[in-house]
Amino acid sequence: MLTFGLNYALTGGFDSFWLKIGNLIIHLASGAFVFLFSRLVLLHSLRHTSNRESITLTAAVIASGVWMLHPLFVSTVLYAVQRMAQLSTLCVLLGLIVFLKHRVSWALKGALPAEILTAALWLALIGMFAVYSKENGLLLVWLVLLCEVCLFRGEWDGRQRPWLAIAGIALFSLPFIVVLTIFVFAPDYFIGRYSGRSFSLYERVLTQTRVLWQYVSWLVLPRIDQMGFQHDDIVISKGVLVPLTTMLSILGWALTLSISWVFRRRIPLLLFGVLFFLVGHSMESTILPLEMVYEHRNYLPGVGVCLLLGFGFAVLVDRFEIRKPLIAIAGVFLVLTFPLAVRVHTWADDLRLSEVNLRNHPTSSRSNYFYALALIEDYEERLIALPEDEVLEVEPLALSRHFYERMHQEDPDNLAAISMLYYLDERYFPQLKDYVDWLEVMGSAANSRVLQATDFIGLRFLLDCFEMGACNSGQARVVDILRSLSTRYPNRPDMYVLQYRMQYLLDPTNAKLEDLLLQAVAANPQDNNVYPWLITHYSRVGNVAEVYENLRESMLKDPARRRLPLLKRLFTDG
Amino acid sequence: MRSAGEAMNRSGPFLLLTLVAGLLIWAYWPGAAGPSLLDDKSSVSVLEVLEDTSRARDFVLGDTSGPLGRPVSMATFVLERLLLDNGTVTSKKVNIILHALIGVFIAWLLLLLFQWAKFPYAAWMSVALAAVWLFLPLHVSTVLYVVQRMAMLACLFVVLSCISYLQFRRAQCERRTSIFWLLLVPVFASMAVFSKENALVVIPILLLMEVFWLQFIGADGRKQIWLAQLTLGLIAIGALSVVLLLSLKFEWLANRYGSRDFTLEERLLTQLRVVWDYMRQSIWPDMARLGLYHDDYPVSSSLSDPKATLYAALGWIALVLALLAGSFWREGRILAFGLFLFLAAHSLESTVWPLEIYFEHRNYLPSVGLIIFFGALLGTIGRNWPNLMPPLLAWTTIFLIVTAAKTGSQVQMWSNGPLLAMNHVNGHPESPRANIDMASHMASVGELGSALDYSERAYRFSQIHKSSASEREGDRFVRDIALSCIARKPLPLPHLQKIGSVNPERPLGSVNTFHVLVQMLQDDVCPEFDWIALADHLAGIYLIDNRTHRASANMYSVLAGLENALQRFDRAYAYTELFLALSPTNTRGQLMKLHFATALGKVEVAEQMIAALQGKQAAGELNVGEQQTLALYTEQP
Repeated sequence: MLTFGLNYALTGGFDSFWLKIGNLIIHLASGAFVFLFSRLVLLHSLRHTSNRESITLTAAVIASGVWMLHPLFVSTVLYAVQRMAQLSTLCVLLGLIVFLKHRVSWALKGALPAEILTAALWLALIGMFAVYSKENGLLLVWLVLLCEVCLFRGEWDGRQRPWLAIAGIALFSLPFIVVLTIFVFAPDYFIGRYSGRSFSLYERVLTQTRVLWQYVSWLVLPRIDQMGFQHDDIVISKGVLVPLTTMLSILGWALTLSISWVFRRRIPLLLFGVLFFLVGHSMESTILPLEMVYEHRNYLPGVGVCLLLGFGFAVLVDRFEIRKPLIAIAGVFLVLTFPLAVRVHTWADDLRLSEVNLRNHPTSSRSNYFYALALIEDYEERLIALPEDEVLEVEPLALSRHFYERMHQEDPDNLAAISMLYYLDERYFPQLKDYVDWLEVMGSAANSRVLQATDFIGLRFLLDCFEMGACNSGQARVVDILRSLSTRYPNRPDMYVLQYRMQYLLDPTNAKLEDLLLQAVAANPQDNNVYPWLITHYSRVGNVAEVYENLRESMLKDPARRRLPLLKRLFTDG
Repeated sequence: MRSAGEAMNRSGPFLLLTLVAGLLIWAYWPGAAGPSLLDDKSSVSVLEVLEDTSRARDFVLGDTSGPLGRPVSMATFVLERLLLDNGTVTSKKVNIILHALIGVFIAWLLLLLFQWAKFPYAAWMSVALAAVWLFLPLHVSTVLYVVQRMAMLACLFVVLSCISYLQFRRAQCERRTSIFWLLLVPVFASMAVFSKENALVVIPILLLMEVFWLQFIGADGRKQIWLAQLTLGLIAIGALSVVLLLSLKFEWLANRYGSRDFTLEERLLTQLRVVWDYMRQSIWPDMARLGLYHDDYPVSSSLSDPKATLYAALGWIALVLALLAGSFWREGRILAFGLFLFLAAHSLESTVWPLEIYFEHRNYLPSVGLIIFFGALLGTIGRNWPNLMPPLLAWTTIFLIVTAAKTGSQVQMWSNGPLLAMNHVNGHPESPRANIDMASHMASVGELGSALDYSERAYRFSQIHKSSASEREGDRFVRDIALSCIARKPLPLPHLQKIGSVNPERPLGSVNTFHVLVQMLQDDVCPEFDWIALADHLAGIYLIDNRTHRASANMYSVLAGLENALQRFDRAYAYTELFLALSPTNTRGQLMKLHFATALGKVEVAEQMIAALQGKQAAGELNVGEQQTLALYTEQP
């Protein structure tokens, strides 16, 4: 958040161009760190190899170059908010470099307590930055232990120390043991968190075994026709054999780990690279109830794969005694640059991006939703700029409606699709209103749908539509739908706020309006998002005392003072 | 390259300090827009009547908030009034710049201390730690509370006194003439004390600095026996005097707690916890609790009530024993100095004197001790394990950034009256003052019902918390009337008649509250209010006989002001008589009596007063303003 603030201070706003330039700078810096990290890892693990300098240099250049030019990371670098993942990776890499620098020296000459403390202080500082960038910065600790287990194996002061090797393995295993213990003694701790998801813990873990292979395949063979912003079309693994690739994936991981373990002394980098990838994914691609697939999750773990690719490439160059490795390296980079350029071009335009996402993932609800929305937005922008005597073709809107229809067919209860179809028919295709009563469809979907983030986006859009005056019929039925959803989700304050907005449109003098907002506060007393509505409401009815009281309550529930500038503006701007 | 590095090491810290001071001013500047508070009105706002230099002396020497009159501090307010505009915004801006300046001097003090102790990175460390001190969020309530310039100036001159002593000692070690610096020590010390009396702690601070930091080292690195004997002798005399004073004057001290709801013993027990809390709030504050009002702080009635009192006591014993034990070693003494400075600087305001329980501004000087302690810790580590210094300085920088961010947010809170009032009530929901402040804001937006609710809460909590003065119900009713006037919804007659219904023998206690109400009458803020009914009701309480026990002298003075504003001079005269009965030689009372006697045509009484006042004038007991007032009655038309 600090870097976004810096962006704001330097450019006077949140211009997406400058935000992305900021991300690009972080990506380049991270690329440099990948080089330094790879070099340190390779130099140590190849210390008994005669031509380690040349192999190391080639491998590190390839590893960092491939990582920097990889098209998979376009969706991280050019997606402003993923700066969090970027900074976390940057800090983790820096932490690993600092650790390796010290640890290599300790392996040869040992260290005094003050030296160990110095390194620990630096690591703690960098780790803090990593965690405050994004929580998965915590992985730094585990990756440090991975380095200890795979690269140093108890080496200290020029000798092997079995106790240190055992301690390293024990600490490295600790997270597994902790998670396993929680799972055995308090399984609800994990399982209970899946109530808001359309899949279970079991299904997620099984699916992730396939997803991880998918990630590996994208990293090794950057097929940009498979990549995209949304991957909600992934087939969920319902069992070990459904689909069959689940079993194959599990076996594949078991085999990979076994081979890496068997060759851990001959090729320590293999085990290191594989475990780096898996440890890097351990937070976001295992037991936590997150969405199934995101490309940015590979930003850090991808370093492990790139390192192995670089190493493999360097060994080949060495084995086949290629005299001009620079040409081969340039060739690799050139091959990567082409898909990278294509993907960057795709990301340069909203409409193009949505269209390509949809082409790559035609069954993805979100891809349908966002492309259709982009079409509407593009249409409405052009409509505003249109001279009075010209007429705009409605084809894009028809196309948009088609994609929402398709989304609806794929996922009939998806409220976002239904909301958008209602909006389109209300505003642009009134002749179609007689064919499908979208509010009725929505009413029946609302009885059973496990609400997802997109559903809320759709509902908010629906309310915006009514507030703008673009949707004009069925307000009372929308109120009923929202009331029904509030019954099913009594702890969601936003349900009451949506009801309030609708009721206010129906009758601004309704005495029960206040009750709805008070119910929203009661639904989740810690939620601070209802107060702006309460303040607006009391301001509308001229109850200054309650405006002040709710401002005060809002401050009370905002200990980090994030809303302070906004509150101050209320007083200074009147 | 080498010379570039040297230049960086030489000028880098100075440039950094300039940058820090600039950033500090930038961060604090929005706070200048904040409101005036509590004592600002009695000590600073009174200067509004000062038009030219003729009465400047009256104000410089006429402050009554401390026994020595705080002329140095008052001089700055007077100069500000004469040269600038005396607005609250200007006063706060001056405070902000002064704060930055004090930070620069603290950096200098730290540099001298660290160089003496031969710490590595002395210059960088002193700048970094001075920056930490400058940005402590705890100081926001000192810097942006205009009247606390007194505490700031006291701190400034104590720091300058310490710098002068260190310069003197350094020159002495280098066998240079050092009388100039030695003479500056008492000069700055005096200015500190005349800024605010608590700067008397400069004496123990200088002695502790010699014992624990300088350690009597002389020119050839040897211990100066005479200096050790002198310093330790002075400490022994000081300690003995304190012990004697406490044993002989304990009763006298205890009796001075008459105006408080807590006893001397309770204050001492409570301060055991309070000073730990000050330490915590200085280093890693609970932002919600920071603020001006702490009159809800729970008072300790015994070591076990609350239990934290015992833990606090044990903590202090353990800490002091640890510091004394560590003092057998040179480095231990260096480490101990900062914490002893912290305690010494708190020795006046946080011990036996019957002051209020808790104020953040009391840490303005003591927090320098905490910074010195951290400097000593860093320096000692750096001297023994140089590798640890870079990461520790990096951590210090991070701490500084986090601290500065907190301060920035606290300044924003202080930059707006309503926000500050809400913040205070949120952090201290049971503070009577915070609730009164909130009541005023609610009244100012016309919400009388809410204002009266807060007023009632203030009254109720004042009965519960010993750390605040237990409010009389009559004072609450007076406040409610004032709130109703602010809200432009004057309360009806039956409400006025509640005054005196409880505790009729002494219905009102707060002169300030009543004075605010009378000020409203004088400023014609509340023309709809039935002032005559109020004055009649009060006369029915206070003027039924000539007994003086129903109010203090000052209360009678304000009651006279009420009747004077209503031009009912006979009653104003009667109140003045009661005032003078309690305080017969009070010049203000005599001038009032002269005024009312003249208005009522009591020539003889007026002549008596003129004679008495002229006697005082001849004895030089009247200030310029009083002389000018007297002249109105003695000069021929």
